[in-house]
Amino acid sequence: MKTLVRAGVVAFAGAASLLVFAGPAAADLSGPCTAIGTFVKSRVEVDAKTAKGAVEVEPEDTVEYTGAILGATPPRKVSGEIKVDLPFPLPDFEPGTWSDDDAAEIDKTDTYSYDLPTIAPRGYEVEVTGFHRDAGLPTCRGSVTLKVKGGFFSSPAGPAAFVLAVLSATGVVVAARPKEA
Amino acid sequence: MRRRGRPVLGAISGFFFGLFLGVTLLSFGILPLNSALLTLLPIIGFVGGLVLAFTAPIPRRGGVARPGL
Repeated sequence: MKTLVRAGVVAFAGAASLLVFAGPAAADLSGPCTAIGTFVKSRVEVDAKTAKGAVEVEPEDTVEYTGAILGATPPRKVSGEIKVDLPFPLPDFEPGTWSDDDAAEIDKTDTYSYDLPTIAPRGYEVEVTGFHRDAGLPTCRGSVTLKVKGGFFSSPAGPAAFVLAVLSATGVVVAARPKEA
Repeated sequence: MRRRGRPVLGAISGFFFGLFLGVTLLSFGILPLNSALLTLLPIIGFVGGLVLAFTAPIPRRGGVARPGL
């Protein structure tokens, strides 16, 4: 029992010390671009130019988005990408990349659907970043912070990770005792 | 440095403690998905577990720790 209590103290101390690293959410979009997305199921519209803080979205949704560039003179060379930064060593998730040496479009309207697996944690913030390069124009760069609706008990991942963290902490406590002679 | 605790157990347990602590903090919404701490925690856990095992600061149950054993 003492071992479990010590493991709990180690786990709590570790978690508490990390609270100072929690950073504020933000959204921005620089350059001559506009980017607006509507999360249909979440009933929320996100304008990358004006969005403030984290936008709460459902774990499963369809996004109706519109992107446009002002001052472009087609045809011209364009490229860009939208990505979600994942912690190393996981590769970044790229829901969209584009490249065209002879682009005629100056805007695009489309939909994108996503569905997080049931096992995936909920309640965390995701930063979606992107850029668009258009020949002769400043590069547009933007980011939006999304928060997946739900919390610790919304998926099995949270409680399972907590139990496994306590068990692992128990292992550390056992390892930190002197061996028998 | 003289080995006193269980370094292999400490390193493995510390690594997984850091890993699962990161997922737990993610689930509580304390850490964002792109936080570098999610990568660093298992490494810190690995090193921390190893150091704790080598120093063995927690006394054995029902007795006093005997240095060097």
